[in-house]
Amino acid sequence: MKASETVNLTVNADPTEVRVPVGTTLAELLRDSLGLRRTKVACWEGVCGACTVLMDGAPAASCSVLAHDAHEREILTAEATDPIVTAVSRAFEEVRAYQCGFCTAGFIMAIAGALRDGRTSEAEVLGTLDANYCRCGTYPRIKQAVALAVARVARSAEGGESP
Amino acid sequence: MTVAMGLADYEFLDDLVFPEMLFSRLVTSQRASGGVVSLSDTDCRGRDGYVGVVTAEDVASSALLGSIVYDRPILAGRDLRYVGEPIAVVVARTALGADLAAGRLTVTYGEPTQPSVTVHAADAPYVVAEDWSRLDPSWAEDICHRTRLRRADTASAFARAHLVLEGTYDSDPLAQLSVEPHGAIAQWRGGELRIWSTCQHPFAVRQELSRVFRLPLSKVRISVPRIGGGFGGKSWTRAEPYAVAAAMKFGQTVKLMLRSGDSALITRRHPGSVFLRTGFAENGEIIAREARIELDTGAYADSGPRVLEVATAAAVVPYRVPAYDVEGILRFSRSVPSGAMRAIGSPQVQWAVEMQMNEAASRLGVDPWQLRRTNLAGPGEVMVDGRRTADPVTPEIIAAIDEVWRQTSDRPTGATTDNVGVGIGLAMTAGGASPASTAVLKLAGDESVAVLAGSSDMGQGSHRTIAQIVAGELAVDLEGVVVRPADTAYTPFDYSTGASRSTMFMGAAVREACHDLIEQARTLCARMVGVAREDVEWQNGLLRVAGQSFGLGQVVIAAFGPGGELIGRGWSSRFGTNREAGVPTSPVFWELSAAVAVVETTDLVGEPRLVRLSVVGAPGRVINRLDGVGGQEEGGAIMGLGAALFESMRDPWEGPPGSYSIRPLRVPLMRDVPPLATHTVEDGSGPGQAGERGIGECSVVASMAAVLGACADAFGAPITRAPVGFFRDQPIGDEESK
Repeated sequence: MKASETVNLTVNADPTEVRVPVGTTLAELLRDSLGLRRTKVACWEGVCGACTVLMDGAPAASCSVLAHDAHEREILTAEATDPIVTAVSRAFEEVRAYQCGFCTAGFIMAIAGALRDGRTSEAEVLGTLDANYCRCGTYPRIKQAVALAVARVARSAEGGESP
Repeated sequence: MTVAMGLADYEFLDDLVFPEMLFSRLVTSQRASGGVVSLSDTDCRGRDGYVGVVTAEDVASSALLGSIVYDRPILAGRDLRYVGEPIAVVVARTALGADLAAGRLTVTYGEPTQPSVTVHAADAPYVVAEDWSRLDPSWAEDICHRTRLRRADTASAFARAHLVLEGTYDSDPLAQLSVEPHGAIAQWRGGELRIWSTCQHPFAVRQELSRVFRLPLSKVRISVPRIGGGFGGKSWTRAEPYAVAAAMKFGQTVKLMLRSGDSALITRRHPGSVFLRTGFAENGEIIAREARIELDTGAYADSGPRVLEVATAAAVVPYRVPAYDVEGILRFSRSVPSGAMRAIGSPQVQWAVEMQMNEAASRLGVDPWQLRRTNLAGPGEVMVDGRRTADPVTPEIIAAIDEVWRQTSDRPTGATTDNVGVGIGLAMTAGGASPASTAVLKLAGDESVAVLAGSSDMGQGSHRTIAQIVAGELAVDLEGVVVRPADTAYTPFDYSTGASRSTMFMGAAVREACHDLIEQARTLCARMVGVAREDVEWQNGLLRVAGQSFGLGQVVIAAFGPGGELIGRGWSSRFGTNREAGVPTSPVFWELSAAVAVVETTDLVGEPRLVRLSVVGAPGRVINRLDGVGGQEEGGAIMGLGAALFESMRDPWEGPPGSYSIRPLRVPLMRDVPPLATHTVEDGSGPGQAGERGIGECSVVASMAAVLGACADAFGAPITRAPVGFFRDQPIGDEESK
């Protein structure tokens, strides 16, 4: 078995080449090799959603994706300057949609994924959040943040501006 | 951290990186008895950066862990007590290497003992913490602690009762399951232990590690970064001893970050069984109660005795019960040790009390809220002999509950069917723990303030609360107040961050430190101007003397130079604060909450759907509106609805270590949260210096009781088990581990 492998991937719009031990997860690649530590890891079984990133636009539990399988994929994390990710992050800050803050990056990415995927109503976006735990129970304020982000994305789609 | 800090700046334990750091994994037992016969790392050696393994033999010279009973070895060896018990720590140069090594360790177990054999050896010489001389165990019968609260003659009172209700009400175990699991990083250098940890109570952990590893307190240093949720699960010592044992063995910095599934095997919430018998007079007044509360503390005592004592009193409050006899029994079992979880001891008990209130209202033909109102103890009334009176029960809170009840029960809107149930839950929980907190303030010449306070911020907003108190007392800009995270080397002593105590006790210590600073500034100002100290007055944020006024910063610069600082100290203790003597009554405050829930069902066996939930909370005074009260009340209510409807922690099965899944725990998700309204009553009725009291725990209990009450109303039958369980459809065993 090879001890390490090279993974070529695009992270937050930057083409990147990383050499990692075989068996490294995408979460470890992002956090440890690239220093993108806003992605958090907790359950290591793809259940809690803290580690959610977008892989080719779709939400993925980065704790349960091998770096190997992210080869030649496009990854977006909470550090991305993507306009929708930024709009969702800003909405979370504005309505203070977090308490401990550990699950937040995962929620932001799951919501951004739904919005980028063309889900335009609040209910549609909320319906995609079955794989994200917030044990502090900040759900009512996350709903507010979703409403704010949905409205801004809709306005920008009409006006052609950044959300 | 600064108060204006945003999300992107939070640094959690797992984000800390040290040069030459080793990584570790906990290996847990697949058997609940029989012991580990041998443990071989032959397959690990020479591969994937493997460093070594720590086993029971390595820690044999350490004392036993425990905050009440010293009964838990760091790593189990010949005496195994539960599936999931830590038996080894594997260490490697990378996290991946540690994972691989954990899977390659070969463990041989001995013959399992008969289930009839007790968990604790009857002749075991268990040492009990100094302040727990009241512990009443019977090791031979697997009883860890017994309590009893009695008032008047219940037998004669029951004989007079018009209506007697009795039932047994069971609550499943739960996992605290903060999204950030437990973790610790340990260094052992020059005879000193340095630890970074996710713990809620750094000073308590320092004390325990000092005892267990036989080191002076001054040589154990604990730093706490931002914590990703606690809920009681990070109370006392958790991941630290494993990282310390590995750091001591290998002489290098060792990190142990547990996975959520491993964390659930370290501590859980007690499952409970409550037998309750209540006698009512014809007018609906409660005249007698008997209760027998049995809690399962798992394989080790953990916080069990403390939880049991709270649970026993929870069977009496918040009502007026003229005659009661409540017995509490804490048993050991071969399962995960049970510890503190939000509103310790109350959730298992008070929904049972509320279920009987519902049944009594129905039998007596009265409104469920009116029945409660009739029985609710009033301010100044003693509910449990020798304990604090019912000070949160004010006319303001009663009016608020009345309003929410009328609005919700008159028009249960939002339902899509006719099978609607409405429930109300009242709860009262004991808060405050020990009133021992100290604080140091460093006031700089630019009037910015560094606050050294041992409170851990885990999302409850305590750092901002503390900063607001300082900014208000010293009349300085909030943006310039920085609350430093706990580091036992520099931050002064604080008993704990638990029992909702920080606002009141750290708040009091910080107020005292502000006063101390102002008094010192008066002295300096007097010398600067050349007058007597008494001639300097503190008014509207300025020191005024002889027609002149000076800011605090001016005085600091004049006395110490432009970069100088003035230090203020404050404390709240068991004998009062710096300025005021006084012994707080137990509990140091009662928290009161009420909730009203509406559920609907499609048919009698159908899944209940929560339509609405309203919560009334009584903080007395709100200090932190931004990220304190609202989130705490909502979060508690959501935790309560999960415990009522679907959340439950199954026992670990004998699968491979690391395979315990959190998926079937079924914690509340976005889709489970109905329209939720919170009402906060500010009537200044709290015992704090500004009329405040702690909050954030009681809403769990009220919400759970209200949701179960609404289900019972919809089904037309009392509920005797929580959760009601319609969601427990997850398979258990091999299938889900894949």
